[in-house]
Amino acid sequence: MFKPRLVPLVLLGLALAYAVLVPWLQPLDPRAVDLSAVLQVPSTDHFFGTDQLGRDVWIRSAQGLRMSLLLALLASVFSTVLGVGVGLLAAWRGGTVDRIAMRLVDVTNALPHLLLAVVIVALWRGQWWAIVLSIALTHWTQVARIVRSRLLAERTADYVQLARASGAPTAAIWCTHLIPAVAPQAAIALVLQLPHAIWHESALSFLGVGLPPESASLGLLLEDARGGLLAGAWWLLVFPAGLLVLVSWSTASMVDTAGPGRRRGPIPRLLSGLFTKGRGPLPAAGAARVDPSVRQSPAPAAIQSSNLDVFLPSTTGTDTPSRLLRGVDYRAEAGAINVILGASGAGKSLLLRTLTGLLPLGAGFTGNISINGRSRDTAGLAEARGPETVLVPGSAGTALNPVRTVAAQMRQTLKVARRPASRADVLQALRDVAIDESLAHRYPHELSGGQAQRVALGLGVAVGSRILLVDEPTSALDAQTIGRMETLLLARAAAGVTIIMITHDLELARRIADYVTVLQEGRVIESGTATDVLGDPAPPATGVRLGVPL
Amino acid sequence: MSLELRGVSFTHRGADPAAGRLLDGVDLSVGSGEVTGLSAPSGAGKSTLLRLAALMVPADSGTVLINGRGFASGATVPRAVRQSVGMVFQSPRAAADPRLRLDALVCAPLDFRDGALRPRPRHHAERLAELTELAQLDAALLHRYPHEVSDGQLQRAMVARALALDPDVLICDEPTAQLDAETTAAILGVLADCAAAGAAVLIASHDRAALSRVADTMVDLSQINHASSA
Repeated sequence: MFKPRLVPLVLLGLALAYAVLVPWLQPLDPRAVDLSAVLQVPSTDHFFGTDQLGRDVWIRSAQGLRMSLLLALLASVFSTVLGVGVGLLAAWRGGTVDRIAMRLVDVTNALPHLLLAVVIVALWRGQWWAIVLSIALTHWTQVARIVRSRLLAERTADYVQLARASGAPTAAIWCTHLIPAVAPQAAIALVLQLPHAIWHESALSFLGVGLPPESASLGLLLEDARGGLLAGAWWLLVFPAGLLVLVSWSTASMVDTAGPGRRRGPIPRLLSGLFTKGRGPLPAAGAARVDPSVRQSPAPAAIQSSNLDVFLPSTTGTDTPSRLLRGVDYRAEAGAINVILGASGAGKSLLLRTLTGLLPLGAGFTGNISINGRSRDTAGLAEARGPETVLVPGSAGTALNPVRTVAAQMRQTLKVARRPASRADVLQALRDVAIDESLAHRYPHELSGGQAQRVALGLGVAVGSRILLVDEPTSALDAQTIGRMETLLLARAAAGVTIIMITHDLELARRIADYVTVLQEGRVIESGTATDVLGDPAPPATGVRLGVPL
Repeated sequence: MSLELRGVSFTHRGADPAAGRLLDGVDLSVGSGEVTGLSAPSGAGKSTLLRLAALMVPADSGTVLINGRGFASGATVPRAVRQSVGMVFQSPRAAADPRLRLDALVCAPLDFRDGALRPRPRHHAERLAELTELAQLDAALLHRYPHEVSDGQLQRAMVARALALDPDVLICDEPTAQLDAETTAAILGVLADCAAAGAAVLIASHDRAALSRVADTMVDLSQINHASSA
């Protein structure tokens, strides 16, 4: 899985070695003209041929690449520092400072970059630092925007509020919470700017406003190649241009800005590793064995897992990953309410996340999971999410989109589920899941914890999947609201929906569960019908295992 | 060591004025050594009241008194006063910085008080051991990141963090919503011990049964809130 990412890294390494070693091992005075060897085709003497003045293109290209990379690196670092500085300042001071900084960003973005760059370079003709400055001054805006918006979001996070409320000094909040939150993004922005800066430098030199003609950069070499091309000297163009493409492609593709389901490139992983310390090696993520020999029972379970192990990479530096679920054989009966009980940390939430293919980053599982009788691997579980399964997470407050109203989120849910989503449909859908109309136009931060949980469950139900997995739907609710949630869940079960619910509320489990499974330390220790497991009076041992003092 | 609210009112910014205030003229007093349980239906403004009491958000009007010292809305609160208030939130996921390990989360208040810029768990091995034992957190989990522990385990760490500075006032918003019954009892016990040591403890929870075991007084928010919409 890592191999495609290794290729650009290796290529870039080779290009770097070429740019550094060749000019050092084979020094060449750019003014040394050898008219006896003008425009020779590539050969074993001159790998890349020679130019109009008889200079070796292999060495000239290395010198050019070295210069281009150096200038691009300086420009990227400078523009990132500038962008981070402006972004920090804007988010920190806010108000007028913020407005001025952001208008400055707009103005800079509105000017054509190359034009501005050409003006700066023309003022200080042939100065390397003018080239660096011209690239940096036109490219800091993106970084500033990213840093500012990230900081603004981070500042309102509960943990920052908590630190502030408990009297942490501002400097400590910045160093502990805010800067670590933006540092990886700033670092990625820096890497992403590199290839862009290389092109910019080349463009400036090609236009003749860059470095003086006797020095070497990729742009200057391309400029030189124009004349040679007329004489049929293709090598003058092909080699420097190939290097330019190779280096900018490999720099850009080391960084994979990680769309959903894609692995991150080695650089972001390295960078984020700097800020959240290393994770040990782990077995390949999602290495589900699709085992055809798993016998299906006559009435297929809605979800079934056999011999399911879930592991997290170790963070303590040892090589053994921590195993959070061990050999879990779980079975959720179709059309029934299946309750999962267990003490905190028993692995209940993790089981639900595994069954819906939503494991935390880096975690993996082995064993077999089947949904509606079909074996699924990680990709299969992801495909099932929506059409067949839906997970309502436990911390409802963070599960809702903070910038959209309840009604807007319901509309989006209906759209994703390919159901009609007119105004009336949205209101009807909200009524169906017992959400008051008065909540429809509120944003999540205007909801209480309990209301947020009701909305999260309502959105989950509205997806219309036949298997509903709910993580502690009633943990922050008063008795009346629990009653309404209960009614909703019972109605869904009556409509044939399979419900898998985690709860700590034994009374609730007694009232509505058809089947009960008890987890302890990552293992299933008991499962069966509700009356068998929770039978009244409960056997004392069960009570202890359920974490209930009897 | 006491917490008192006098005539505290609050309206959500941008809320429809016709809908009325969320909180209006709320009076509440928690004395030294007392545990007060606060209950109300969801949406009544419990969490908001607790945030006002912890001086995290300014009230529209009214005064919050910490240890007898009054802070009108918008008053600057000295750092030492903030450090004497411990807080536990409903959702430990949101209240814990995902980039800090549990040991750093727990000891951060100690280091911030001492003027350090980043948490230094190694400086506080002894206190960390005390706190983890107090909050019944498995010490082996201290080296994990929040995403590597369950909600219940994380909440125990957040309780340990709230206790780090031996707060005079302890404000807890649904501290046990994510915990199993055994841990709930244990955590509430820890909070009761804090009160026994002289702290003023205010706990909001729906779990009336568990709450009534430790609370000296039970307060229903709708009884003390004069807002018309409540």
